[in-house]
Amino acid sequence: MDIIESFRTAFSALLRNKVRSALTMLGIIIGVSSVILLISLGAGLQKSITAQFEKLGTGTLYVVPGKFGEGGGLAGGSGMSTNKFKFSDADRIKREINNISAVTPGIESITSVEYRGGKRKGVIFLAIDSSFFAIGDYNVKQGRFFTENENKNAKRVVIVGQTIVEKLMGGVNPLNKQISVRGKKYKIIGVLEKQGSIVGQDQDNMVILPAETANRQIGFDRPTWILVKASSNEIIPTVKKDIEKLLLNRLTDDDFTVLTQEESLNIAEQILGIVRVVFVGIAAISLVVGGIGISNIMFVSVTERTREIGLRKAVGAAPGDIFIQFLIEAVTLSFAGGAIGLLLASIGTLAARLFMPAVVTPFAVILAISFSVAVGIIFGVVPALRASKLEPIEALRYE
Amino acid sequence: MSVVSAKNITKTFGEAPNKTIVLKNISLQINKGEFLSIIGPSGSGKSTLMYLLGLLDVPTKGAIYINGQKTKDISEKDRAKLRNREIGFVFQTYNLLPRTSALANVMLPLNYSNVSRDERKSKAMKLLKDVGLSHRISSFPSQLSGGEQQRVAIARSLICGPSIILADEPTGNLDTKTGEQIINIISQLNKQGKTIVLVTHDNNIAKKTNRIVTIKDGQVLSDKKNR
Repeated sequence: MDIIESFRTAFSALLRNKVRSALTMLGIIIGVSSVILLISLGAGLQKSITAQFEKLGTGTLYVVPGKFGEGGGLAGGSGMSTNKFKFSDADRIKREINNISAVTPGIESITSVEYRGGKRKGVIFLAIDSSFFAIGDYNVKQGRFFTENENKNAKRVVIVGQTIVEKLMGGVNPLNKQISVRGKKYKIIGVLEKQGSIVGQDQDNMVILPAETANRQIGFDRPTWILVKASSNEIIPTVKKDIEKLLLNRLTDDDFTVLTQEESLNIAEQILGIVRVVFVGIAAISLVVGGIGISNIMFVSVTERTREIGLRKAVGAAPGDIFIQFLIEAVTLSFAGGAIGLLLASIGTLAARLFMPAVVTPFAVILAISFSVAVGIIFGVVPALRASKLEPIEALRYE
Repeated sequence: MSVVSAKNITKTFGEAPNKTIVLKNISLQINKGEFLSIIGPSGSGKSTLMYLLGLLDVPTKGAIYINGQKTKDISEKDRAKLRNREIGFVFQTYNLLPRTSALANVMLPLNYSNVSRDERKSKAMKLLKDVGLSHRISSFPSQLSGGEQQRVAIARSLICGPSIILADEPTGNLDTKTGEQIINIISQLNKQGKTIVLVTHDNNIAKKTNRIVTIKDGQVLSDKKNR
């Protein structure tokens, strides 16, 4: 039989029952759109995480409290709550480890910031010494960074991000204005260049205080991380071992972990992997449910059109022709569902671009199309076989 | 030479002890150009005989020959091909596809043979014109009267240029006047050389054919030339 004619027949049959077809496609739509969203968001997430690490340059090691499993695994992590780091640990690393170009400790937290009665919550709080500016990829747009002297003397100065200026201060010239962080006032001496968002977190919604100021004013005296920059990439494993050895003098094995950039990326990817498995599960379930829906509706369709099948056979349709006709109908249904799912996922991805560099890859498109076609074929075969095996005479007499 | 013939065919339904014998050892030869009616009371087996002649069903015993070719033991695919090329069906209930235009209904059998869409269309247009329906080509069956629907069905039965037309009570659902028009179209086709088998229970219609085969209780009661 003419294959174009089969498609024509399939389309008109599906259009005849618009609501039914749409409901049948729902499972496929959900399945395909979640697969595509997963892939494009996953790729975006990975990109932005990688970008975040790259911002600190290669050759960076992260010393963090608590225990992460070997090879960057997530085993344990129990030490997270008991941070035993001191700022002096960073000084010791700086003094005693060879082949490093920079060491900088920092405290990272979330705080609220006030300005003239206005309040902003969920602001990224960073307390560092001046050595950070040499490692981190931060630049001031206005004003300046604080000096090491200002840090040592615990001056009440602060550097703010663009969001603080725009949203909290209403766009006034922020330099030399006073803002409150955790109830105490600080003078703004610098404004950071715009950073954008990473993984949905606004990096401009930030305040940076000198570490010593944070210690004296707020009582934050334990760094949440120490960044160490190796002088070359080849030396990283040696530096890692040396740092571990040094810290073991004062701390136990469970108190800290030295992660290379690669290992940190691995951890991030492992977390992504868990999210991915959950999504794939949802997608797989809805594809199967969608497929069963298609099977079900095709059985209904075959029964409804028994006389039509009988007539087609009477005028010369071979069993194969009937089989192909109904299979095409099932595949058209699932393909249309896949196409709509792809469209929805593309819209979702566009929306997600506000937060991360998500993109619908050609691979995802091919995957969506082949998944939906495969579901149509797998779940359309049995109803199509039943249609093709109907006895013409029985089918014609069917009431 | 016979277009369709049945040799010693028996048809039973079901298994013992509920076995029903519908046709008993029937032989029948239909020659080219004949206009034949199969007549008999309901339940006599006349429709079953027609469906067997049209390869829509398989005899329990015996064989059907189309243009001298034995159709026993051929694949369902080949039977479909023979139905497509050699046999045209006209049913009592028309059996048009609903929500499908008259034109598409007539074109349907050609979808199953290798003919281009343009050719299918022009052939169907011509046949619809021949049955006087050129003004209704895009109408759906639900918009057509019974007589018009049956004329569409006749056009459909002709489109592949079959050797024989098998019509099962083609006037059964029509009033007397419309029925006569349909019979006139059918006898016109016979005059143009088509071989036609008409199954009916109506003696008045049978009288308009050239040969009357009477079936009773699954057997041929009589086989007479008419006029």
